[in-house]
Amino acid sequence: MNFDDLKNEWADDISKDVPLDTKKVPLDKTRSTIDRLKINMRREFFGLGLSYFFIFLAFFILSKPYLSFLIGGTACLILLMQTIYFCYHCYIFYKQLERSDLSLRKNIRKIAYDLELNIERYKTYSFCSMPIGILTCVAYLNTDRVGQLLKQTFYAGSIVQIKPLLITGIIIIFAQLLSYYLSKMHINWQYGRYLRELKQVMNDLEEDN
Amino acid sequence: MNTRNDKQTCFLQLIETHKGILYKICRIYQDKKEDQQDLLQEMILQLWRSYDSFRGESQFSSWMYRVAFNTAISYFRKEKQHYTSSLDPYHDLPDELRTVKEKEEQLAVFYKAVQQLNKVEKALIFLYMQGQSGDEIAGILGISSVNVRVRLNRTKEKIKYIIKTLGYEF
Repeated sequence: MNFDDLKNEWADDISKDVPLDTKKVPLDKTRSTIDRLKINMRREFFGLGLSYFFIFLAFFILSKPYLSFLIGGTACLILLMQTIYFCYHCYIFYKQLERSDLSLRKNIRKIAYDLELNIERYKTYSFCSMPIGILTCVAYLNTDRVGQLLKQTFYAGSIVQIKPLLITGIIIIFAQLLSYYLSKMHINWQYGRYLRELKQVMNDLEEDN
Repeated sequence: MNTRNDKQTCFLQLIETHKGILYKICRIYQDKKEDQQDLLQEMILQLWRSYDSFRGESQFSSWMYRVAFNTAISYFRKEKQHYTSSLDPYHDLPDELRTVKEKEEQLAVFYKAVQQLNKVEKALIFLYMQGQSGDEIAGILGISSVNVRVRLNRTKEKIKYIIKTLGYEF
């Protein structure tokens, strides 16, 4: 066996039984990395929409005092602005994924770069939305009963208690870090594996002598 | 509506002409029949989606190679086979392989050996087998012609070695 023989056999090998119907363009769902990415993005977008629906619903139902309404409303508005910014960039990335007629190196590099950028944007969005989420929850909790409870916990007469304040602070920081860690794990699981695969191809394409 | 139908008819005619080449790419990238079929469908879909960007400035086949390789390479597969030097000579070769004519057997062994290559090496060897020049391969893959030459030699050596470990002379 040698390459010349193989090339001749290759040229003679005209597959007669190609399993393809060329009477119509296939429109089925596919399993490519790009399409899986897109499916993940669509699912997350709907998930995000649903969660915001419940946040706003809870806001209008629960936050009755004026101050709560102001704090909650401001927090929701900031959250909404952040989400619009994030979704807008996701949409641009989503649309750009369609193009696949560039050279292999350019195409893989572009997708990997955009994907990495979006992963980082997603992580930042998750990190920034958490404190605003906490603020929104605080606004929801502003009822007389909760106010009374807080007063009992944080005050001894008119003096602020340091210990419960510190514990609350630590819990908030821990919740922030935990939620960041969990969202990072989720993002890596949803998108990181595709990035790793693309980076592997990029490494294989690296010029070497 | 008519323009769209004409476009689709024209596209499908081109696919009919080149479907053998597309199927060969699928055989290079996937070893299971159903995976090859899925990849083929995926390629046609991506070619159709990108068809507007084909302006006829280059040959249809060159444009098709780009889209087909971009699709094949970004096609997700759970497990990736890695090349190992300790292959059993007849490791999971299908039984029918031993009885088919020598020519077909050689090509089947070649396809089997190619499965051990990485995605970029697969593209290189495919284009080489298709008789593409170094410059054309460089244009499709986006690497330099010198690099194509170096990598191609290395890939050919690798294939030789794999075929030998499968128990065939090369």
